[in-house]
Amino acid sequence: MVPSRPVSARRLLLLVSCVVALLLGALGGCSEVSDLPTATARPPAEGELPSAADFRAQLNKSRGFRDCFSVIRDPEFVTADAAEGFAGAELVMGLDLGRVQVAYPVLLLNHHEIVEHTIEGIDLLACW
Amino acid sequence: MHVREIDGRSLRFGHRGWLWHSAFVLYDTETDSIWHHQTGWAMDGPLRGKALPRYPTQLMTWRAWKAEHPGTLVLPKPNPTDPAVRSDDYARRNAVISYGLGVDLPGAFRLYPYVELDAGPVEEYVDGVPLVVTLDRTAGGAFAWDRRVDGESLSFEVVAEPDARPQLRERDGERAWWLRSGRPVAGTGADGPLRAVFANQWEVAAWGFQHPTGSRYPDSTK
Repeated sequence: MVPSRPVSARRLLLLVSCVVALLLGALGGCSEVSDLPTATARPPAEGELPSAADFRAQLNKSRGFRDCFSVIRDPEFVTADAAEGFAGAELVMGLDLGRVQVAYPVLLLNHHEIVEHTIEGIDLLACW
Repeated sequence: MHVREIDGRSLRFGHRGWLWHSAFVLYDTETDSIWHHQTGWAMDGPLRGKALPRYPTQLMTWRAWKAEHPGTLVLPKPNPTDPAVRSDDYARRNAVISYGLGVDLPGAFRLYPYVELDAGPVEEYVDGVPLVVTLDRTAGGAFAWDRRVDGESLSFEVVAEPDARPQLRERDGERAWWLRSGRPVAGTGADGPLRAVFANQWEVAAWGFQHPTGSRYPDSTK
């Protein structure tokens, strides 16, 4: 049996560095799976929100009543190929969350104005 | 598009049936606060002053959206043959209304009337953000993107060939992004999507009432 040469400290350090670099490269590749974007709130700044009294005075209450439009709650979504009754020129409101996209037909939204559902664990409120 | 969560609570909403400067308001079932459907602000009630987190959305034709996102999910029409969901009840009304794209930044509101965007894309700084705003009548919508890529503010030209998806191509460069989705065009060297700026289509008149501190292109941003 041929006796093995002892590994020098320098060679050992180089070997460890290569392994670490490979691991970091593999982890960096995992970021190609896009994370969901973060929703951000934009609160009203000073002067942007009317006083409660002004707001109430400016409300037009003559056009409807509570729940005059029925909310679409927790519907089932389909793929584009399975969507029936869609014309190419009709408008959709589109949401792009990176790894998932959702289209809401305006012609349907016109009659409901509000859609609530959850996707990717996010509780969404679509308004039109 | 809002996230219906406030202070860690998931809320449910209903239509209040009221309008505030042509915009409908909602109520939440937990506190009965009144919310503006587009800004996501609680206008009255116990949660007044709160704001729902939100995502930007894009308005465009179904054809254009499918071309940009072939794997998209869709909210289906429950009865696809129902005439009510095959024609636009508001078409006659909308034909006589002026619309614009309202950009909503942390420190500024700005409206880009579509008639002003017909002349071509607008590049400017608003609230310190370099924007490019374009109107794409073929797709039926307008789009606002942040022009910063890798820390650099780019300038774009619109490349639109017949029967092809339009692109935003950097001037004096090769990188390009799809105008309607902001996603990079493969093979051009573009890496990563453009960041969508929160923007919605607004009736021009209504926008003015609801954004008293905002500015309107081409007026000064200040």
